Amino acid sequence: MEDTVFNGGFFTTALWIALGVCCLGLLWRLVSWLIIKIGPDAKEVSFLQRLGAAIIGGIKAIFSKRLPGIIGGFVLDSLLQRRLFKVSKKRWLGHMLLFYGCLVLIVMHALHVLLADKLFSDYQATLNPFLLLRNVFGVATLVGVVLMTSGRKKDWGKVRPARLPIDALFGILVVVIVVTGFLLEAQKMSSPKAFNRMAEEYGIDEDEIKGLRWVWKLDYGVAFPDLKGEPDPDLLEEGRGYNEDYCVGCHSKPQHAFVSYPVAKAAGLIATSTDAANVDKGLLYIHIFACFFAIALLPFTRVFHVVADPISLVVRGAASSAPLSKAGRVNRRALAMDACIRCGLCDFDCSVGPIAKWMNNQELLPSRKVQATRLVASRSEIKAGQAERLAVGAHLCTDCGRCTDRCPVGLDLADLWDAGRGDLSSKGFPAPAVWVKEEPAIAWAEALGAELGRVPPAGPLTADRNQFSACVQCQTCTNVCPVVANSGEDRVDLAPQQVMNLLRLGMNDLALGSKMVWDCATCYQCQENCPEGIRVTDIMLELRGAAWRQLGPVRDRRRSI
Amino acid sequence: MNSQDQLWDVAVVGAGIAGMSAAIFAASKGLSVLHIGNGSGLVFGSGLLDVLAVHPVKDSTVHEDPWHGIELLRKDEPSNPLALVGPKAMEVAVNQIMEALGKAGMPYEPSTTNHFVPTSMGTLKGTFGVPTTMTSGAKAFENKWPTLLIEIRGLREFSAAQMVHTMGDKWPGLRFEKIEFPDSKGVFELYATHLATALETNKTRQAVIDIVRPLIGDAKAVGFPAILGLSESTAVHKAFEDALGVPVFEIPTMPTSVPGLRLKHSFEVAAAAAGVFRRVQSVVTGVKFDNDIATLTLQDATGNQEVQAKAVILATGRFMGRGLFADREKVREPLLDLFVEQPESRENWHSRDFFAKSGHAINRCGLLVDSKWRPTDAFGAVVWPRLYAVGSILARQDWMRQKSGSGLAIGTAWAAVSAMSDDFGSIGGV
Amino acid sequence: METQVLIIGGGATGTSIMRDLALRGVDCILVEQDDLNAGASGRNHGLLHSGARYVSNDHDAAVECRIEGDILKRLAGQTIQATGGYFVAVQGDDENFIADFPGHCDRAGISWKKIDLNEAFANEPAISRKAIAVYEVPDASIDPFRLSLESVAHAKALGCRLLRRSQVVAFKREGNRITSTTVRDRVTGEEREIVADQIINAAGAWAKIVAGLANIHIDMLYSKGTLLITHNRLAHRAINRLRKPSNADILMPGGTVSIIGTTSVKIDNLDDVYPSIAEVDQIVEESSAMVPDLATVRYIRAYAGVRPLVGASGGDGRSVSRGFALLGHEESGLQNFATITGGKLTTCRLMAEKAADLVCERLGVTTPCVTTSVPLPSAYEGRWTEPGHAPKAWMRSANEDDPLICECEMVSGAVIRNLYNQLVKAGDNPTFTDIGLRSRVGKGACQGAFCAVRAAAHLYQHGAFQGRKGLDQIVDFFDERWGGQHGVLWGEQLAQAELMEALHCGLFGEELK
Repeated sequence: MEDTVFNGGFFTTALWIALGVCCLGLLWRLVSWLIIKIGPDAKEVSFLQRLGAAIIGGIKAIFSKRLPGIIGGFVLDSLLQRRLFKVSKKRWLGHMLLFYGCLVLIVMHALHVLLADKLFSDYQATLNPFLLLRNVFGVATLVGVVLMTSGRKKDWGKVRPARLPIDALFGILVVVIVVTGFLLEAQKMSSPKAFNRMAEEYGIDEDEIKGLRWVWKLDYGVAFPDLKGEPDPDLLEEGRGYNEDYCVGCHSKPQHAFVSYPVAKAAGLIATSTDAANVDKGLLYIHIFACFFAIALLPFTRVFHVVADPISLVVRGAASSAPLSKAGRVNRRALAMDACIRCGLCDFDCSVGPIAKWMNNQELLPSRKVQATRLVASRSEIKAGQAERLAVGAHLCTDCGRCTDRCPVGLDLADLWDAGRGDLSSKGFPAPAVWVKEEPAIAWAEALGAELGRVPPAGPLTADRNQFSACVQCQTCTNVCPVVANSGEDRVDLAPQQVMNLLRLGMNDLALGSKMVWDCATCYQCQENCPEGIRVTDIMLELRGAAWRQLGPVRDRRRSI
Repeated sequence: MNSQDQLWDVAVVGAGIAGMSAAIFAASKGLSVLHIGNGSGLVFGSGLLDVLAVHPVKDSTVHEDPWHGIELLRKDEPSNPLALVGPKAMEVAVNQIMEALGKAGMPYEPSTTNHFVPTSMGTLKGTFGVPTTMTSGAKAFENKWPTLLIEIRGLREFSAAQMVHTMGDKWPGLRFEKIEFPDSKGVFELYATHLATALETNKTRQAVIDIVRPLIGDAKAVGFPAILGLSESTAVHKAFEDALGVPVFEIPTMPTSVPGLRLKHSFEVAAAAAGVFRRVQSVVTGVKFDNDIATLTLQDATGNQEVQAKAVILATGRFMGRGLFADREKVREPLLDLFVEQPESRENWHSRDFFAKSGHAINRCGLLVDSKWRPTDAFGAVVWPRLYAVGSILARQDWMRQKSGSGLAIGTAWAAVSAMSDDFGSIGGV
Repeated sequence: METQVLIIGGGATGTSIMRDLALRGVDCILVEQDDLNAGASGRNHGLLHSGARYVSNDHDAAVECRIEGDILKRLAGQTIQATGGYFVAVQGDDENFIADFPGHCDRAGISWKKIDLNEAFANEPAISRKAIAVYEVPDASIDPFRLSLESVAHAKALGCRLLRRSQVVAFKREGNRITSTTVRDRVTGEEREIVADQIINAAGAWAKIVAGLANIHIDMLYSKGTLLITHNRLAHRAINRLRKPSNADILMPGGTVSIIGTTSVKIDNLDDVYPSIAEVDQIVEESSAMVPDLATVRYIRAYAGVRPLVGASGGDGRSVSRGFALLGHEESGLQNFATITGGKLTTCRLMAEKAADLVCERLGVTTPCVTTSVPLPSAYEGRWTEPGHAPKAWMRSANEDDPLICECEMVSGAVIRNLYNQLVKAGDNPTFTDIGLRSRVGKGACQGAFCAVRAAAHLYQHGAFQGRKGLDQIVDFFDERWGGQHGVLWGEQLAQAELMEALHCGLFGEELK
């Protein structure tokens, strides 16, 4: 049957087009790793330097003593998804089912001419275990898709990674391919037309076919509309003999196709009409074209990470033994754009994640920042409002490094954020710390012109009067503060307890522009030592967010004047 | 080791001086101790360990001999926890803690009587345990040595001028000099802890020594606010004495004071050395008692956990430590809702005069305990056979006026742990 | 000492009279037994009434408040925050009263606006969700300390004199005149004579006692009113309960805090005026119907003032309204003694005008009152009572010699030093309590426990304090501050008080003097 399809030039052409698009896409994305410039230092390295770094890096990795370690890491992190396993068993299962389900279906089914036939001398699609396994892996793929997409919100909590439409489209295509596959199989099982075609091919004569038809109706579920009542036992016995002779070698009992067979039984009632309507052809077209479409789409979706991630993991392995060259670092950043699977694990542990919601700025979340970094690097002009949000996202980061630790695909996120901040600064969006510090805190407060008691709270912690009502003014927070201790002549303008006290007084406008807020090292000493349990550091972070939110417009107003 | 995986002999709740001492005493008796509390309250300490300096409070009678004071207390206030501990046990207990703190980096001068230490306010503080960095202050005053006090520009809580003006009539040779701390130019407000840390570096220490040396003149002793090193105070203090050639002493200052932080640190080291397992960032939010086992609910940033212990020592302090909480109606013990002996109504809680001679009635409210230091209800019945209460949460004492805070904490901890370990002995728990 | 007019009592009325007379070119001396605003002038809500409070039961007072409020807003704006005010009725309040309110306001010429409940909740989230009607009126907050301090500063600039801690102990009478007044310095005990052509008794609740020294009887009752200060500011506007004036139904913003009150308790003498525990409980319980948070917030202070209520028999027809009483005492045969008492903070200027008119008439001075047109100048010593002013000033001008001393209210060393030196220059021997009255020192959460220590150290460091003064002052200051804390010692504030005692008794042993 496949031959009939591929003999037609149309299908072949379509396949070649799909493969062509796929290959060009792959090439484009691979080359992009050597072209995308992220970070101010990216402009200092040429394409050739980057190509060289990539080649040398590759060779080094292959011949490095750490190769076993790199391979081990690849097996654990890539093939077995160790990190995902630690976070969510459910998502790990979904990922494994989807990936290995698809992989087996591609090898054993889609490419059986190229692979399965060669690997297994007795390969027959309709024979066990292949018949059973195809159903098993088809189901696995579907379950994987369901697990990966269901309960996303619940699994990821308040942080939900961004999802692109093209990825959703690809997911739908996978479902369509598998479902049409099952339907095709079912249709074929129940179809008298298919039976007749096979009988014709094997040249079975009129007499033999009578018994055989009964056997295939009863044992294989073919829906012959004309066979009614009970068969003649002799005829049946005869038919079974022919079946042994002609069919069993290639056809296992269809019950093993535990998905398609029940469908076939159900579809049996309308098999004649579907036969008549050439539904099988329609399904086949959908099945095949969905496959082609998926092939063409592949390099442009998140699925491309199956290529990028192993490479990224190898790069991480290499970087951990010897620091990368500048060109290598730049390449790694570009690679990160494709290797990031937007899984959102980084968001879980993000130090400033909790304030993203309050600030209504999703750009604080690392998973969003990966794309934002690219955006900033690639476009010459960004809309002011958006750039501000990106800038805040980039600059509120405390560089705690937890996102890098968490990343299952080995991205050096800390380096990426650093590079992104550089790009933002060079585009005229320096860290809020830079422009906030241009004026003393009192000048900002006066520019805000808020009336006493009417300054909006910086965040939920600041708004909560119970936070401060316990403060006994003991100054422990300042006494344990390394920033105040080491500020020297570049003194902080307000000590931590003074910042807290301004908030207690409802005068947060005076604290917003404070140097202390931006000089805070977020070491959490104050918070851990406060005898009254006030969340001093968390409140400092809240103030950073509020400073941007409330002082940004003031600055813009001044600039426009 | 994971605290919820084992059955502890004793869980100590609260990490002030009482909780710390109870944990150390219990651990050194071989019991397994889980200690819960972050100890931030210790930063309010001055470093001095009071046993008893004033009795009777209403007469402001100051005692040089704390043991005699406790004897008198036994006659006048027989149910005062200090009287119940008694002078002998108190002496043993306080000396043990002083020794433990010494090993942990905060040595105390061996002592048998109260000493009178000049404070930053210009008052004399009668106290028993004096850190070696402060002892020369008491001696200088006692012998009326000509003494130089150092004032540091920017350290807001401390004025040597104030001390000289306030104590000058009793201490004729006292004078002061004001200095600029190295590298503090342009810094408006200095914080004692930061200066203490800076003095642990040779460069800064030498710079201060060079500033102070020419100022000594005829002085036979030099007093600084308590900033001579944070974790290396002994070495810093010695370096100053060696370089200046006269006794050097620290003057206790307002909290958050450096000696308070030292005390916290040293207690932590001492507890660890004794084998205490500490849960620092946890708060106990509930306790349930079965026949033999107490189950404590601990809350920290990650959520709730339950731990189990055969005995519980409550050392949660008074209002500052959240061991007691008062609403408008009455004083409550928030963790277990234990019976709190207290004045009948809020009218009687406080005198209208802050410095009232007899003190404020609310400061004598608290938990009642039986002879084994177990909290009882209003009728004297024990709440749970192995629940003990120690420290300032106990009723019928006024540690602030009696100048007995540390003695109360350490003495009751000692007595309760002794009673508890007797009990463990009898049930064969250890 | 000689002067044209001796004014007795340094409250809002006495200081306003001092300024009024000074502006008319009349020489005067103001004697105050304690310090400015030590009586009811310093112990009230700080509410500049729009008049709406009185529309239902005292039309004249309402109109008077509206007119006087407008004058003060125009001429003494620096002492006023135009917060606006809400009148809030909750479930169970008298519906007829609510319905009549707008009409009453119209008749008194007071602007009002009905506020949609959801808008009211959005603007003032602290209001009870059981509110059933909300009206907005032009109430404002006024800083009575700044008003008095700047009135005095203005009058002093014009040549008049102030004697603090000076108590009138006797009058010498010859015929129909008081020829001399004996004044005792309450710190040194020294006595001096002041010869004045006219004497105005503006001693507020103490007016009866002062008049008694001249053998004049004033029929006066004392009504004590207690107020509580919260740790945080709970509302932006003045929140009034829309019902017949009763207990605990005004919540005023006081800069960084809120003030809730009052009560009304008849008392017999002025020796021991303090907020009782029962009054504090009553305020907490009753006020929470209007603002539920008041049941749970941290309170940092309670204080009580005394309203002098002059009986009907004391009136001689000169009273402008039932709001205050101006007594010429002609019936006693005296020609140069007058008493002005009662009234409201809002109408202090009018009271001063009427009292000054009387003495000017007696003195033969014809210069008219100009306090309806001359603005009140801002003065250095008046600036620091405004909550939130000190932190801004400090952040503007912080320098090495100007560290923060009071952390709670963020008052810096220079302010304390300058206020201190200013009083020294005026010939006073200033105390911490004096500085506290002229600034926010000690008014925050710590109530002096930390800042008094730093303030003493700072004044010693700068050579301002000598001898044992620091320690003595700290002890006195705590006693003064304690009076205000005593009523609200539960919850967090009790813990804070425990810390204060632990430091000052436990560590420093200050009670063992």
